[in-house]
Amino acid sequence: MKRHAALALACAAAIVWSAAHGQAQPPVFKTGALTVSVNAAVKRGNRVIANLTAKDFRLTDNGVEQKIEAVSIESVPVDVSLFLDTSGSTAGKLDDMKRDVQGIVKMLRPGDRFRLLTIGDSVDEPVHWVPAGTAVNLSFGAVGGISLVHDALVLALMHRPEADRRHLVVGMTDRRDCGSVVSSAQLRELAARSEAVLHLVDQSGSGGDVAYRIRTCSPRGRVDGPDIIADAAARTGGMLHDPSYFFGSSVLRAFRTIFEEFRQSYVLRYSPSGVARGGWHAIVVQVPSTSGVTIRARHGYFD
Amino acid sequence: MACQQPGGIIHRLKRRPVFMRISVAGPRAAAIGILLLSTLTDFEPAAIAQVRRLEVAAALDAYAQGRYDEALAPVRYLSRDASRDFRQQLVLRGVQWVDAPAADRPRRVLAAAAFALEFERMRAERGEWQAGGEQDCAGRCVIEWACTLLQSRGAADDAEHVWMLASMALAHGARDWSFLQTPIAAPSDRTVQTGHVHHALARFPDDPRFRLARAIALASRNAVTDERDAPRAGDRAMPTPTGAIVIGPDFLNSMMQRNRTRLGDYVRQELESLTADESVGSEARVRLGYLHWVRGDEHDALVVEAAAADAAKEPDVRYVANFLAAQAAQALGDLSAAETRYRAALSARPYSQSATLGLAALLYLRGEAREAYEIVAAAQSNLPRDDDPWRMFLYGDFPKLPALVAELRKRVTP
Repeated sequence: MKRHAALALACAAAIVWSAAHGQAQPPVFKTGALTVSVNAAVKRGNRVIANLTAKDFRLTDNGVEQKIEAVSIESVPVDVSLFLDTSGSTAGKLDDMKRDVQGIVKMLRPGDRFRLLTIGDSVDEPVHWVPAGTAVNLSFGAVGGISLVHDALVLALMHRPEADRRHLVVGMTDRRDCGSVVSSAQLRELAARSEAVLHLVDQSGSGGDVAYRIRTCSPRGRVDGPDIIADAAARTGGMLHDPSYFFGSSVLRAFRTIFEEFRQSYVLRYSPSGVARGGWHAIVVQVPSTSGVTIRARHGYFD
Repeated sequence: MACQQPGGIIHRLKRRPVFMRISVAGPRAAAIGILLLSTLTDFEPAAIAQVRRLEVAAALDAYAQGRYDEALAPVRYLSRDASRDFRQQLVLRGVQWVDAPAADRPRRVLAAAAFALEFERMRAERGEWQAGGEQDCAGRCVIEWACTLLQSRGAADDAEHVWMLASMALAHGARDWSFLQTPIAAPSDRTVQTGHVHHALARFPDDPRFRLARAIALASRNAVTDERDAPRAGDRAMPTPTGAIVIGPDFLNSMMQRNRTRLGDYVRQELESLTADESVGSEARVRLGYLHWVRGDEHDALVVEAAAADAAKEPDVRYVANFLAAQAAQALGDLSAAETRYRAALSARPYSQSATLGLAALLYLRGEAREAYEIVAAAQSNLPRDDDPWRMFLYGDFPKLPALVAELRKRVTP
């Protein structure tokens, strides 16, 4: 027993010494209760299902049912990142897009914030975070050839809103990437871990005259890239929208629908129990009490 | 070698295809030919009016006297048809203008060639390097005309060297590889190598800059890798009957793959031979590593780019070499080496977006979200005003074009 005590003392002394001299990396422990928030949009057809309570939901974390502590239709402010694909392939809609951006800014509510991302030779941010109602000056143009869709979406997703805010990313794009640093596979993985909800409005077939065609892309593309991008949106709890649904592919109409649905989505909060910490946690959300509904929620999170 | 392709330049006009052969007799013959041609071609009234407003002789006078903006500003507003007609007028009246006072001819030739280059640069940026595909040669024809004109001055000199470099940079920007080098293939006994870069090499034999320009053209997208063209796995499902000789997709694919491999090997040797050159060695090393990377040789890419990065003095070269080393290391699964290289790239060019995104994605997917968020936010707040060197790397010498044009102007109006 004495030998064990001496060994423990020696170890303790060694830990204190090494900590004091900075010669060893301190071990990292995950402490404290983890609270997970999950956006869940519940609809029957195109109609949002309202008035659900915690008892109506069933949520599993890595297959283990969790106790939902709070359910709310959030009235908290929203950070909106709008990405307009201003590459040559969508240049035909540029004027419409600019007009609609002004409408989008007007649509936001007090407390919301907005920023705009576009594609040039790099991913540009012609409008940095501005409060709702701010008049924005739009002077961007189309750039032919290069089309940094992955990079733009990653930049959009890599924003951590303050604790009492939510983050909605809406991308208006034909999903045809050309020249991004981030691969489509990386984007999909990254979206799965993102705290934002990503919606895409398909802008395929909206190409037009491009004034500047001297640019082009790098040789690393994937034929299934567009599908992977759509899958990335699904992993955040968002989806790819068919523009014909919005009667004339108006950005404004598309955004209004997405934004309203996002604001009316439920936020489920729970503290994981009965599951091992660390790694990927697959989430499944169901509403057993109501039949015929569709639920969109993030597919999981990394602890 | 003169600036024409073997057999002469073929001009094709959009609305009324007319084929004209310009003999090696020189630009006078070209002018006469185009004069005849212009009488055959029906101009649109609006285009004529615009060309009249932009008088060739007046524009060349202004340019030769150093009033560059006055000479070039109207070019910006020409319609597509008007610019095509202006090209004809330039070739036609340009020769007369050059010869007006014979004593000043060499300088006027240089001015006309420089003006033609700047004209085509502006039109290229409006998407008119090749105005109508096969039917219109547009920019490349004017550049070849100017090239011939320039050579009529006599022995090659420094001004011609600068002009040649600028014209290469323009063609790189337009990514018109076949204009620079035809065919885009490894040399063989059965093919005649030609193209604009060969005109330059004929005037400046073994010039390393032109050799590098040729290597860049040969290593152009899709020429040495079939990554984008590769058929999906399912497309290859059809078996070939035993004993049958089938000229089908498989046969053609394998033939193309063989040609690409041969070309890639040839370009690699060319780049390796340039790495020791003092003037282009560091860029040749980076491009050699890039060649390995696009061919899927990640290990060689990492070795070459790491060495290139450590040896490079110019921040932009160091940035691209480190960035490509990071990408190669990432593909090899060595995330630690990739992180180190991304950080080295960012230390050469702080906040540049391509390396920022590469590093942020790596950190985020490794679970270090907080730092990923921070570096993205910092980069977005401090985005450099000039172009990201990696984005520009794919355009060869195009980023050098503004400096080369400035050099050229100094020689037009010393």
